[in-house]
Amino acid sequence: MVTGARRFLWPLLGAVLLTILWAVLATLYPPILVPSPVAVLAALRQLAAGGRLWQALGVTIMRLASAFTLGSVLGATLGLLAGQSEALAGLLRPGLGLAAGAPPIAWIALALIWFGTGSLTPIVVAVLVAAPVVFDATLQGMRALDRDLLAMTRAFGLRGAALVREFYLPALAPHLLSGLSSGAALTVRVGVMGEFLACDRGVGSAMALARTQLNTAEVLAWVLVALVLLWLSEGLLLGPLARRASAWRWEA
Amino acid sequence: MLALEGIVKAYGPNRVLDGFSLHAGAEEIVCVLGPSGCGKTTLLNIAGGLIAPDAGLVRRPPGHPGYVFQEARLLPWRTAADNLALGLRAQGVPKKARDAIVASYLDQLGLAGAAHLYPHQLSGGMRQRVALGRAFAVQPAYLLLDEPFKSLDIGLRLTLVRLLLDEWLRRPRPVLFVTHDTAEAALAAHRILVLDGQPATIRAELTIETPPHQRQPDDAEVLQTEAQLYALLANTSPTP
Repeated sequence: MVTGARRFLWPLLGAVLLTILWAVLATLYPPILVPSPVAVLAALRQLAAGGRLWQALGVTIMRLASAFTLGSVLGATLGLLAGQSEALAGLLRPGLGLAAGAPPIAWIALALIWFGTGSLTPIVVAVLVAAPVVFDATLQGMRALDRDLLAMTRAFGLRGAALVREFYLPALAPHLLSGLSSGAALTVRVGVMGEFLACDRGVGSAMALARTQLNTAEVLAWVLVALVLLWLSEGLLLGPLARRASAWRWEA
Repeated sequence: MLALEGIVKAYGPNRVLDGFSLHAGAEEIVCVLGPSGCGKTTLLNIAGGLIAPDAGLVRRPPGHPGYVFQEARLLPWRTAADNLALGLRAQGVPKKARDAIVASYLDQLGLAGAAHLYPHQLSGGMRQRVALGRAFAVQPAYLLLDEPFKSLDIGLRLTLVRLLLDEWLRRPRPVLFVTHDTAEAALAAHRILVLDGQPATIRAELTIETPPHQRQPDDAEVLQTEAQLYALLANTSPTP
């Protein structure tokens, strides 16, 4: 394993270099095209001070959390079932392939027709895009299960909830968590995009408003907010879960 | 008593068992030897109820089986103590009673210092001890052993056979012990069945008079049985 300091050193350097590049570009182009990092931070501070940031965050977090929960539960459940039956896996594949393979913008267009503007559109689209990813990861985990170990659990009479807790959950955890991680990233990206086009509140719609006002600094400020949302889902939820699930591996 | 009577089992066109019968008395250790693929594992799985036979009758003593497999088959995410307790957790034995049973088996099997280690931190011999303990801990009505010491060196193998006999002596019960190893069989069995396939038939049956726990690996009787078994196995027709 990489030690703590090194793990953060290179990414940190990368971020610094990126910011420098950005600052340099900002001196070459007018602020309406490329606002400086300082201007973007100022815009962010203003959004926070005016309360718009927190209001938009609250709405967006509610939507993304609902979409992520729905998409994960749907994807994981179907993946678990498909893992038991090749027939079901085959039956589900075209539908999930369609959901994951069609451009997200096509789903947004359809969802706008079906559900109109409002929360439902970004949520449905994010579920459609994220669930197949969780499904694939879960199904892969099911196929990689150790059959001998499973036979052992049966021989010792493990069934039902105990079997899930003792065997399936820990055995699937690495696959499931990598699926959830990709699912969370997709949920944020597609969810915010849905908001941009279909909502009048939330981070995405605030971004759309800033764009129409040609307030580029504010657009970028909202981009930073979306990034922070993604980091939070990794740092507060999925990261700790993954560390807990694999703690036994690092016992030397 | 554990008894299989007239068992039929086919996998596709392959008749692995065709009217096969065997039994192990209430306090009897029966070793089953034979070439690979002669249906020994199928026999064990039918005895334990993991596989249903196509026809035939299985009589089991009331209670759970205790299984030991060729590989330890421990849950990698559980410590030695937790793995040992797996069957007890499955049966819903309360934690306090569970801990007491686990502690006593860890002690008996020389694993007290390893209780909190994970399988990947244990040697092959230690892992197989945990697997033995897991089977013993459920207080099984009968034991089913599928070449449990196959991957271990001879010294470890004899130690583990000794641990098995110690446990059997404390709680005598029917034991069905599948093995490839003539020394193991000559040391541990009351009765030895040499199988031939396919379908499986009993080619020879040897009974050893001296009780297993009183034997030594270099006893004349043990060595003679080994030689007999060796001759029998060298003659078994190889499965196609």
